[in-house]
Amino acid sequence: MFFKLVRKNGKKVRRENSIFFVSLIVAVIAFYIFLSLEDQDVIVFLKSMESDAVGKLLALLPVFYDVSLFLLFFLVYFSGLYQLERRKYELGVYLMLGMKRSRLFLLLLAEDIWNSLISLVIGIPVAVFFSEMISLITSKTVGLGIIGHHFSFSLEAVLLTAAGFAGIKLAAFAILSGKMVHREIQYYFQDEEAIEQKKGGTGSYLRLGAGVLCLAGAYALAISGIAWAELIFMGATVILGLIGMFLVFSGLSTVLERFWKGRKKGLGIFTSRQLTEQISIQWKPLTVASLLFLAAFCLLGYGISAASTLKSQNASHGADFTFQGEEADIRAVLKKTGAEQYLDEIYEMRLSMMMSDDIWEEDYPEYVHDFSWGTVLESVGKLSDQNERTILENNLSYQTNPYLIALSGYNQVLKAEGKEPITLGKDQVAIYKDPQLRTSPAGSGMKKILEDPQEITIDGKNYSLYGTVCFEPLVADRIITLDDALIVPDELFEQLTGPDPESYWNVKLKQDYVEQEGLMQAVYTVNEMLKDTGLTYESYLQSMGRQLFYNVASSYLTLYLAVILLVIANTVISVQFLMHQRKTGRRCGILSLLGAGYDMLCDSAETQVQWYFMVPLAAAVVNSCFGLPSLITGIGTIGTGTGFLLSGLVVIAGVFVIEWVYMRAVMHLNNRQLLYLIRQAEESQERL
Amino acid sequence: MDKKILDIRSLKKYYGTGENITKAVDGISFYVLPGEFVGIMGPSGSGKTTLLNCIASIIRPTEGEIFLEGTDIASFNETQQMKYRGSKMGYLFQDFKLLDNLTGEENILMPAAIHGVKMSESMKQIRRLSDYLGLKNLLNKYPSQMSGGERQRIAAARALLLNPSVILADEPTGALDSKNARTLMEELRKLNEEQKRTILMVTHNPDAASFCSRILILKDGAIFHELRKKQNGETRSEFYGRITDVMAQLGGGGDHVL
Ligand SMILES: Nc1ncnc2c1ncn2[C@@H]1O[C@H](COP(=O)(O)OP(=O)(O)OP(=O)(O)O)[C@@H](O)[C@H]1O
Ligand SMILES: [Mg+2]
Repeated sequence: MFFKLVRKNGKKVRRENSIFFVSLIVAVIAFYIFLSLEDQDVIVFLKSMESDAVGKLLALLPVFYDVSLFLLFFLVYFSGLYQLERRKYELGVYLMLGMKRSRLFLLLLAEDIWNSLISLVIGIPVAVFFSEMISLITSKTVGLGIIGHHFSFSLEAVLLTAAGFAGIKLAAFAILSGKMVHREIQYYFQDEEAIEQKKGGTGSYLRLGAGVLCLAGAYALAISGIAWAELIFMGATVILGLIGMFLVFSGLSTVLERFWKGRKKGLGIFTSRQLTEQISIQWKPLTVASLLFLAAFCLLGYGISAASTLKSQNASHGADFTFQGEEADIRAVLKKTGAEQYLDEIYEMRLSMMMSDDIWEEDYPEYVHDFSWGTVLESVGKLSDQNERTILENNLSYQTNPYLIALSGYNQVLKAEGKEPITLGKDQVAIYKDPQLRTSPAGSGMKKILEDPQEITIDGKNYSLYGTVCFEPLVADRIITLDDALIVPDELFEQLTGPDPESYWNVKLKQDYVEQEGLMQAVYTVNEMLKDTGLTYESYLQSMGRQLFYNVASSYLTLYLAVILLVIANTVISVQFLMHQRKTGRRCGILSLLGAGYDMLCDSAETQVQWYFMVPLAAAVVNSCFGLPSLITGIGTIGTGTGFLLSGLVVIAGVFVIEWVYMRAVMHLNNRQLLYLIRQAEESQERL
Repeated sequence: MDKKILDIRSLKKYYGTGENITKAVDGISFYVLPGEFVGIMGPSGSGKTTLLNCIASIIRPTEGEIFLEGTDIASFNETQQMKYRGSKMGYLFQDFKLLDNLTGEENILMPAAIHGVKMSESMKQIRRLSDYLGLKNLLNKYPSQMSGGERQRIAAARALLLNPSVILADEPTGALDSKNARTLMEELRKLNEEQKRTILMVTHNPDAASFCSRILILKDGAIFHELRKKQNGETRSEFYGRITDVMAQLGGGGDHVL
């Protein structure tokens, strides 16, 4: 009997609260996918190359696990609150019939467990399916190929998902039943609690004004970039933003009331009064929901920009492999292993330090040259950007023994990248900087300086500087990292070179092979051939792997959190809305007695749903218009271009669909409630 | 014939089936002429509210016909019912049924908004009603800021807004103290006499009933007795005396009915 009741009630709860049931399943899915991250092809692959970083990421998982459980707790709690409110009457009847409270809670708990089991049973298979799809899609996009794919089912993830959900369910349940236990039976039969009427006067305009000012301040800090300069400014931005949001929402209903004043047709007045009343009572949860939306949007934006760069690994680079050692040995190994057939011609990259400090005089008197930055120093002092000026002044002060790069090697890099080689006159040198400095103050400052003719002096002779900074990477990954260097014609290189010049041998994969296999797979195959030959070398794979890792990790985590936040924000809004509608249900009964039909009432309710969702969403959209650009400039742009735009549009469309689905679901639930109310009103009218 | 504003013919409303059948209204026929002020009395459970709700089209009768100005409203479909409710007839409830989130004026205007009547006309109507019912200071108040009598006056104004042919009232004085009840009855009488409004009122209160021109007394779902105020200037207190007598007869002791 008990279990029959549990099953029957469970089914009713699922049907009547379909939104929350589906939200729960979505949460289960997101949770499993996230927990099974370790088994994703890309992560397995990266683990073999970047095991440290992957290890760090995986070590972070428990933290994310706890944070998401904390967030999901609210989802469970709010939907539980709504369910209890909705079933108040029924529970009251059980109590009246003499069911002991303990037994009633056992009944509720059993129903809850039953429904949670069902959501797991539905959620997990779907989650496994999605997880596999994501695994395949990401490995395809990053160019890993899908041949090596293994079906993976993470029992650990299942268990952790189940345990986590059981934990928060129990916690929420304990709190909710604690609340119910102390109620008098009478409470269960009260139709609605009295709703406090709040009237906002000039006070709410003041709050609104102050809120707008706070928000404007936060926007200004965020957009100007000051927020990122120091932690304290970031804190100020966040706090201003939060205060602003709460203030604006606390005064919002008064303004909206004015805004809606003109709506007099049909149930217009009633609709607007319902809304303003609801917003004026529930401004706190609405603000929280709006902030959750904002967080979700920012995470989505960031995650998408990270995900959209997954494919663009093929950044311009002049070498897929860089070898160290004797040319003959290298050629021999390449020939022996058969790697040769996949590779273009190898070329030499020569580097050397130019000694100009006095300290070298003793050991290498014949190598010491006289060097000065000539007109550059003076031009640096004239830079208008203070940041660029101080950094460059500092740099130049210790760059007294510049590294030299032979022009032929650098031009080969350019050629391999498919770019035009540069030509230097006999008395001309070029400034080289690390590719990562391209957008830094040091890079941009130097570019500005080189717009005017500059000269440096070596051994008393003036050399003019090439008109721009050279930024192309010299080797496949990081076998050498030069922040700054001078590119000099080969003759000059011979002349100025130090006692032990270094040689690196770069090679690129054949273009048709890359096109056929995909870059990642091609580098991977050739790497497998060379791995155990004893050659000292590095490959572009590492560089790609590192980039890929950061992008994969950040897109996974941000998108995961975004989904969870979206689901929670929507649940909060839906629950708040439906609860208020229940409490004010009597009003619809009255309207129906005055001749308002079901359709008219539904229209009014649907308008209310739309606005009630729109208000926090619109606020979040406005906020993210300022927040997202700031976030992207602050953390560093990872994605631009059409791929980013396209996926951005896809996401916006996705969010629209999600919101639409939630709104429809709330409308549907509410309309059913309305129908029930009207019937009840008519029946009770009959029974007077 | 066509002088009757309301004509009810062998109206029946049964609840339940078989053994459990309740004959709430069991074959009632009567008619109301324009400008009449009819009271309906009877013991608890005698079918008064059921009768009124059938006329208001809130519930559908099992059998019988209800003609309002010649149209049978018992056969209305839902859309027609909705159109009829609140426009062709106004309803006054014991618990007022005002919307607590609207001001007095907005409450009064609600039927106009629902039935798509021009606002300017309704505003004129409000001004007219305002004089009759003394609404001046109530229009901008919320129901929670009004007394019971004031709320019922707002409810009355709402019921009258669209110039309904009939006003139905189910124990309108039920939630009011005797002073407020008396004031409300005076107002209803004024409406009846000066504006020639037709009113059909259920009441348990003989004092309220004594304002009527005719009283139907129900018992077990049927008309048991009919009292008419005498044309030759019977006073209200004389009429009151006759009412209490009948009620005493009916219940075997008037107490529990009152
Ligand atoms: N919805 C219903 N279902 C079943 N029976 C009903 C229903 N509504 C009313 N009844 C029955 O119909 C009969 C008449 O009820 P009605 O409400 O008309 O009485 P009343 O004269 O208004 O009584 P009171 O003076 O107490 O308001 C009662 O016996 C009641 O039990
Ligand atoms: Mg009654």
